[in-house]
Amino acid sequence: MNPSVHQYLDGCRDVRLTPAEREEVLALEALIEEAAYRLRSEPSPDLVERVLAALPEPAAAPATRNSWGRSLCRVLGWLWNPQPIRISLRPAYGMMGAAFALVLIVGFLARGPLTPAGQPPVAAPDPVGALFVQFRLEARGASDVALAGSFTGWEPSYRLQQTAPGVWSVLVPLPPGVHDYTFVIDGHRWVPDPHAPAVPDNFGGANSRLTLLPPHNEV
Amino acid sequence: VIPQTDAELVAHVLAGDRECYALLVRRYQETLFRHALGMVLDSDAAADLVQDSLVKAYTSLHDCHDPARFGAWVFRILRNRCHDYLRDRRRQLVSLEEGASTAASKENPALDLDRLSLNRALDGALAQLPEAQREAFLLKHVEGRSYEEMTELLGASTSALKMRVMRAREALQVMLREWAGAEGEM
Repeated sequence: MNPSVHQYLDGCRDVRLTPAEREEVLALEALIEEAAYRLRSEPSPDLVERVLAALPEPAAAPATRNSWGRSLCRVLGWLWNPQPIRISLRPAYGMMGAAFALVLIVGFLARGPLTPAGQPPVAAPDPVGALFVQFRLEARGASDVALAGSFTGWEPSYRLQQTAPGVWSVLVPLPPGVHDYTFVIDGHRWVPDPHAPAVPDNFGGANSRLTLLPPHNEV
Repeated sequence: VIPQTDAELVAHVLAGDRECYALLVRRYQETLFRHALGMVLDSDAAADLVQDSLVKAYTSLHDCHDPARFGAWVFRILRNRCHDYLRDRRRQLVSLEEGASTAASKENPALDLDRLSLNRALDGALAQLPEAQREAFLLKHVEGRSYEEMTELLGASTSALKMRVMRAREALQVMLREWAGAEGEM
């Protein structure tokens, strides 16, 4: 078979063909088309159900856990997981409370230090050495924004609150170190923090990176 | 917003969302089936191979290092499955032929072809192509892939793939000429 014929069949359309080569091309194209049609015309089965049925089951919940155990887990989970809290307060009560707090603080300071004289005051370290970090995202049109990261096992565990129209925020205690994180908008859009350094997430996307240094007295 | 890209879908599947895997299956099942059918020329076997490959892909999804190229990755799984299937079938055919006393017509494929329709002849001609040539021919002319795509899928150079497609065309042409000649004699 002439190389020009193959070049033409490979898609090189600027090849000059003799009448005999053109005839050969036409015959071969008809043959190829017939072979392709045979394979394309075979109805393709819908394998979705078959494949899903054949997939291994995800790890089941331990069978020994009874309903009491499940209830306890639910309660503990509710206690442990961050929950949105809404507080309504009358401004007058708020002002009274603030004044009362101010009186207490002034009285407390007027008593002098609580520690024995001659000893420097010791700041009580946070039991886990956590630092409180505010995460903030502008996401107009979002109805739900959550935070997932290396510190949550990549579960969107922290739910952000809308502090202004389109502005979402949450305060999270984190230990010093390097943390990768991302925001999850409306349950399925994983969006990195536009104001933080990006690192590849190994899935073709990006996460954000946060580095927290320990407080000075712990260095 | 429903995850759209392969990478997004794979990430959701890895997070435990099996429904996203259904979307990936729906996206690739037809392409995979066409390729498997061209390779094994048996629609039931092709469907089984595609199912098997997609299940294998699910259980090995952590090994998919470039989820944006999930389609190419699952294609390579299917390709290996097809090769295994054809190797097993060849072994079975050889053992059957060894025990058979009449295999006269095997010596001249044209004698078989002259009793078949053109479609059967095409199936027969494709089946006689070496696997590498058949694979390249299918990707080029049935699935309409570019040589660049084929290079990525098969891991061979463009010039090697062009050579395989060329050999496949020539072999098909010769086989079908034999068939046409045999038909004309009838």
